[in-house]
Amino acid sequence: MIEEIVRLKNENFSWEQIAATLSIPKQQAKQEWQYRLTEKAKRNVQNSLHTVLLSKERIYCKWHLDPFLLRAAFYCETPLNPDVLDLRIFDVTDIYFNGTNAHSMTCVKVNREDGFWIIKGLKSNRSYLCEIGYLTKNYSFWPILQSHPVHTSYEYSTDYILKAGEAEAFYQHSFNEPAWIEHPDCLQ
Amino acid sequence: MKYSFSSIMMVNHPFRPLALAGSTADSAEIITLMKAYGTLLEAASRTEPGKPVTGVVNLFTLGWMNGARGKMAVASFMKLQPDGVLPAVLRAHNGSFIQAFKELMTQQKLVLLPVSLSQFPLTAYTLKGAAKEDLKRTSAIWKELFGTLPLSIWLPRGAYTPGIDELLLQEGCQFVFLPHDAFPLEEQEGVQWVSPRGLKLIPYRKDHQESGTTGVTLFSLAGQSARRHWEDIQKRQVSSSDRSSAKRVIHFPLVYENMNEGHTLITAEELHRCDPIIHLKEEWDEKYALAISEAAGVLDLEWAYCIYAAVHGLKEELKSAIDSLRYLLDGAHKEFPDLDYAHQRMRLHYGVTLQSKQFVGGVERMEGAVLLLSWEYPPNIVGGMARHVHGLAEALVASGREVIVLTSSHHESAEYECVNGVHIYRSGPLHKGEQDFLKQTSDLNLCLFQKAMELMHKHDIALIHTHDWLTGDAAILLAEQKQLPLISTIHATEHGRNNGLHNELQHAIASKEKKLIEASDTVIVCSQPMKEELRVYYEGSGKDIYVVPNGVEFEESVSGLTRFRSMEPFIFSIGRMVFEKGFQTFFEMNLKNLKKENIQFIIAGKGPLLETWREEVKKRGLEDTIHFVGYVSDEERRALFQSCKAAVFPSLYEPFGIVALEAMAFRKPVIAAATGGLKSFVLHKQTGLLFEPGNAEDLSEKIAAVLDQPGYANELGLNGHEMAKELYSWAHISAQTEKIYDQTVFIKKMEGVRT
Repeated sequence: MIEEIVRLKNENFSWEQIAATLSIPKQQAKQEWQYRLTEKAKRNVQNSLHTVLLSKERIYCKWHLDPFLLRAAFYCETPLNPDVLDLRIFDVTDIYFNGTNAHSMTCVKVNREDGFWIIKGLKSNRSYLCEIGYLTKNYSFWPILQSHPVHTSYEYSTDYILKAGEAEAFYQHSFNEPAWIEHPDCLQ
Repeated sequence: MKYSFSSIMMVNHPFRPLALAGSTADSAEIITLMKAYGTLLEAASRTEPGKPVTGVVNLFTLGWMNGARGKMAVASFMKLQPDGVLPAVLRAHNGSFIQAFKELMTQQKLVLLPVSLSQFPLTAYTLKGAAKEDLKRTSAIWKELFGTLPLSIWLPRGAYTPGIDELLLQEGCQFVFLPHDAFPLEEQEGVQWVSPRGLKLIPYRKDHQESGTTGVTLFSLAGQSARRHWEDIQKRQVSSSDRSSAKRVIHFPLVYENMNEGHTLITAEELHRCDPIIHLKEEWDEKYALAISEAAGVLDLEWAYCIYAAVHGLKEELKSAIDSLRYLLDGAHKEFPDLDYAHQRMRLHYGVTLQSKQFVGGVERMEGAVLLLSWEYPPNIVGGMARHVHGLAEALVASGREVIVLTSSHHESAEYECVNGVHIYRSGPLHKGEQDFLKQTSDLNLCLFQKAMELMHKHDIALIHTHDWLTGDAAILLAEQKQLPLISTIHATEHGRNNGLHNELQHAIASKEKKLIEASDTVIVCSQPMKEELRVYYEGSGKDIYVVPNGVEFEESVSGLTRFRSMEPFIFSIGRMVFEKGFQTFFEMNLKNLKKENIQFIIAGKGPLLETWREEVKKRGLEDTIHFVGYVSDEERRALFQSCKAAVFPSLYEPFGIVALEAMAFRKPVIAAATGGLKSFVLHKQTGLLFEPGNAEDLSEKIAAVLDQPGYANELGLNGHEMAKELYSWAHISAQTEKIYDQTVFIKKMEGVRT
């Protein structure tokens, strides 16, 4: 029903026309529409895990986990402790990360109610990404959300030489994929 | 101070609209602002053509100065300080900084660029798409102000990561300034840096040179090569096709100001402060923006400003901007947005409109003429409608539309004439002497219908726009017969005019009004309360109802012969009798010190507290001074405004306050509580006086100030009049109406395709 209303509304049908097409009272059509808007607004607060580089060696991780998503995760895999989550930061420099091939990993235990964490001690010129999840009954990490990757700055400005060849190649043939990590908005 | 060719002057004084709202030409806020912009203008005017000064500006401030209130502030500043380079330059450009900047840019004396609008570091947004939108918004506003795309956008705190080059190129930028930290300057003299996507990168560093009290922060180009390169760019007028010089493509993962000194880009505290604000954006989507499509840009602007205020730690401003955003969202959510308020925020606060693309791009401009049906049209003037239709018709013609007005015949006027481009046809009624009002109206409608059918052969008519029920029948018949879109403006309803329906005639008129609303594709009303009235009493809930504020009537002089004549001299106030309108403040006033002892207070309006307050007046023995007169008709209201000594609006909460503008239109000094909407156009000591909400002592002082100095009161009234005129010009109203026309025609066309 609601899909029909949305479709007709998007085609600029008036409420009278929608009510007539679907043989329902006008008021009902409007209420359903209103309800959907509210629901959508609620749902819009997305589940997300976001990372921001605060400085050369600090990363800020921020997440929002809908209780519903957490319940669903717990349904799939029973947690060892439902009140403790794992925030993991992986060094994924120059690899296609598959969950098992990170160069290194650091784990932080966070409370279920927490929403952010700052991790210090990042190395220069490395790629990192974060995941939030938890340990299952058999002590294995079960991820729920993954962040986009970030790349820390060079140690010295002369380090640009390390990527100079790839940068030049991209400049000449920009249809290729860039060989580095870009701002997430650029990928949209 | 002498500024060299390689200086970058950043004029980025924190934009604090609330502080600006209450400021006068001699207050610190305005003086700092003028000084900073003045320094930039002077430096640019003094430089040689071809050796431009680079300026970086805050778009919020620039927008504000371009808005109704900003223009006024600039004008009064020029009056206060007539001497010097700045006033001279401004005078030559009509008081407009934008015009002055534009000319300097054309003369190649100035390269001007904006800081990205929200001034939040673009690498630190915790919401996907926010950085891209920030840049998009920045270039859209720039385009609105300057008519071109920006050459570049300054990155807040110099924060850059790969991919931002692409986002900047998408907005038409040709180069970007980046902190010198990222470049191996000592190693690579004479190199021109370019990003892998081809965006020119120009290194800068912050100057340690004292910028003094000018409000300007100085940066300079880092390294000889950057200076040479910059010169090169200027000479070639920033041509991006040139590849002859020693270009070096450079990629680096991240850079921001002072990165190599170990500084942080942003602290966790700052992020915590901004994060909830950034995520406010998740509370609305396109559907909401569509609900206030006429002013959809305002949601984005408010949000962008919320982030700006959060990142700059402007607490009071942030609170006000969030309140405003929430108020607009609430309205949009209930499909009941306060468009008056939205427009006012854009015009007064931001000075730009940031028109949403959906509206501009999605709807084509209709072809064909507009047929305006009106019961009266000058020189036949009975009520306000003639002036309204007249103002609208001529403004529509001025914007290039073909307009035909069809109205009743008038003994002094021709059956057809073309006045200022408006085709005016007059016809009917046949029986002018008919005593039965309804019958005479039907007679008129049939005449208008016949005339219009005849006109359809002569003119290509695209839509019918009728005003009130008096010409409703003809409009309904025509729209039906010719399958044309019908728009009706409801100026007033029978229900509202009579405070309910009490006799047969009133019922009959109301039913005609209902029929008209039912048959209309789009309904226009002049105020938000009117819209609510239609929804509640006229079952208009399923209709598209737009609010286009009525032009405040300016020249009209109304008859002062009302039941209130005997109470003069008086101070007037009007509003709903509810607590938040603050009328209780009057009870506590200290009236003993007033020189004018016989001053009366007339407070008009209905509402739940009316009787309670009347009782209160009796209890306090103020019956001879304070009069709660209840409902007043439109005519009475105008007469009251016309003959009052001053108008007082003591609201504790007031999102808009159009009524204060109305008082201004009557050249009356306005005394208003310093709250929300009122504060934005009642500028203290310029267009009125402000007092602390609920503070009766303060109110009494301000009343005394106005009553005791008639000259001063007069000046406030005149200034207010100017502001009201600026805000409610016919050009503005007709532009809004045109958008509604285009959209209605567009939707009607789509219906045609469907059926």
